[in-house]
Amino acid sequence: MSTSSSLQISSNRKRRHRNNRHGGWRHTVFGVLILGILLFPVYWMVNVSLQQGGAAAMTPWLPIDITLHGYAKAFQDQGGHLLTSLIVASGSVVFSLLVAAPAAYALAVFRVRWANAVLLAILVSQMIPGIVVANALYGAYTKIGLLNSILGLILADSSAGIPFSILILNAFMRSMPLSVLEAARIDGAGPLRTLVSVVLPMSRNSIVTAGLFTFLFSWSDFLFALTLTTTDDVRPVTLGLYVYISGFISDWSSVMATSVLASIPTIVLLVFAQRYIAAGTTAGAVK
Amino acid sequence: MANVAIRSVNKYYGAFHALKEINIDIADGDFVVLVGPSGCGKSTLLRMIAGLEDISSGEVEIGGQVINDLLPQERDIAMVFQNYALYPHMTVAENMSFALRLARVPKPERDAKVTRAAAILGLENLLDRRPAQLSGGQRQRVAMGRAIVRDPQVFLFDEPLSNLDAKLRVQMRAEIKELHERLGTTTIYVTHDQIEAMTMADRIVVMQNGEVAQVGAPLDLYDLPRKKFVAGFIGSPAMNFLSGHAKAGHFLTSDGIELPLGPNAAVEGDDLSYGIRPEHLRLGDSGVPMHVTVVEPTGAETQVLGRIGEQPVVCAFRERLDIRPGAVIHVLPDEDKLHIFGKDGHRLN
Ligand SMILES: Nc1ncnc2c1ncn2[C@@H]1O[C@H](COP(=O)(O)OP(=O)(O)OP(=O)(O)O)[C@@H](O)[C@H]1O
Ligand SMILES: [Mg+2]
Repeated sequence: MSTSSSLQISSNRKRRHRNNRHGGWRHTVFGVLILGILLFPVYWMVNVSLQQGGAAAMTPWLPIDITLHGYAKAFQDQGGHLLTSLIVASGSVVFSLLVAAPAAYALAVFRVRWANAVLLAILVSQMIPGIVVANALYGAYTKIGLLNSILGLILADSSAGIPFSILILNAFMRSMPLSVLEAARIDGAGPLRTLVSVVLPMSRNSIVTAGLFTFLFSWSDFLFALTLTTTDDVRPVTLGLYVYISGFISDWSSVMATSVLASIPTIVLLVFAQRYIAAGTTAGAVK
Repeated sequence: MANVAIRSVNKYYGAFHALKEINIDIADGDFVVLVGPSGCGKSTLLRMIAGLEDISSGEVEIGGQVINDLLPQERDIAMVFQNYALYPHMTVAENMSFALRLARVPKPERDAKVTRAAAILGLENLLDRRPAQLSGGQRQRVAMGRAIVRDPQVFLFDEPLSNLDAKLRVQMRAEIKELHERLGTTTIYVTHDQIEAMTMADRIVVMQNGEVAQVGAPLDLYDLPRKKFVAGFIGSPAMNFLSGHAKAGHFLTSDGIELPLGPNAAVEGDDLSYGIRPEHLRLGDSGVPMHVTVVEPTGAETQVLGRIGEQPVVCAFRERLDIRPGAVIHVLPDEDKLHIFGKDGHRLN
């Protein structure tokens, strides 16, 4: 692919250039069109959320008559659920990373026997459908009394976050130059100190990536919430919305307002984390 | 500061015998260079001294203390890695003071040590930079600074200059040497570059296939290599070897050309190597005929490549000569500078 296009560039530079310029606006229009289609649901969500309640299909195309009534209602009804989601998602991120980082480090750096078998098992565990895990957890949670608890949801979400984070962190840590860890050893750092002072700072980007995906997963989790909560005490916003839709189907504006609110944390996170994802942090360590 | 003694050290990687009965004594303050071709076990030996590899058998002593079972940080050594191995997320100053922080050295003392090392290495203006913002040579200096601040008993270097360009390498070579003169710390330096070894070392340890081939001062190795391998490894351009046999004071190459033996007339045997360095061949009116194939004037000397019989030979003449490829010249070996090696590669004269 790259060779053929570079060949084309060298042999046919002029024509290609012209083609490019002239195809330029067409490509742009096409791109904008696709983007428009993709983003339309988001627009509609925001649009409806800013107008008087009623049926979604009847709402005017443009939010000329702006009202925040939907948001007021959303906060009132769903504020607690949003907070629950935030606590559960953040909790799973923290817990997942606390477990996954040392595990990934040990699997990557120490000469652990069967390290590859363990990683394969972790990978396979990712292929078990969530509903199977959820059902199994339901039985266990009933016995140990973790149903309807924040901790229960954090642990459940971590059951997906931990293996995923181990895989991401391990892949990065394996690519770390071993000599840097050896330098730390000679400088007098034990394994734990090396993890904290050298490995984790160097792994910052993959930690952000793992943490972000764990957050996104937990934030959007519906299955565990549905299976492992039975009352309104502990109810993440995904479940809140679901119940909301069935109950208040006539007032779309607050449903959409809740959706907007539920999207904000993920958008903010993505914007902030973007520059860490997939960027390297080992620059300058070696050579 | 301390001496280092390596006694009957072996290293096995599984069934692979990487180091075989290594014995080396390094005096306090010596600059010792481990040199040898790739894969001969130099790094392995250095890493065993550092505590990064365990010692399969034998003992390593630093300052009279057996250190086999000590952790790296308890051995009082500092190591400079080939790829620098700096901490990418720390500034230059933090990189240098990391070991001191771990050892709970108070901050004023830490700062003083970092400042002193930075001054020695000319890093004063770079202390707040991160490794990614430094050139290769500067990174190399930081790696050395990290070793210096610890004020160790022994410095270990593993090919520290091989990632630098040729010019910087020569400069850093001088700097490391100067640093050693200034600090007087016992130093073990690994390289596969024999010129580095010759110019820097007080003593050279030539290694081959996991064994010590010869230990000695640079010029001793040059003048009196005990093995053909050492003779061919030390010196540039490399020593010429002409195979042949000797009998009754005459050396005949495999092409039947007679070479003078001079004071070594007593040497006898088949499958011998007649070693003579390029700079020990003189141009003469009579002598051994040599067919010239390539002439390379370097300015300081003229290197003439050619054949004696069918065997390739290089000469290095001081004079500027008007010799053309295709010519036949006559060369005279300096009879006092001959190196005759037997079939097993051991020196015979
Ligand atoms: N971890 C290991 N497992 C198995 N064999 C190893 C290991 N490390 C090194 N070896 C082998 O031990 C021998 C010596 O390796 P070493 O790295 O010491 O060579 P070296 O002299 O430093 O070479 P170079 O100049 O290329 O760095 C080599 O044959 C190498 O393949
Ligand atoms: Mg090596």
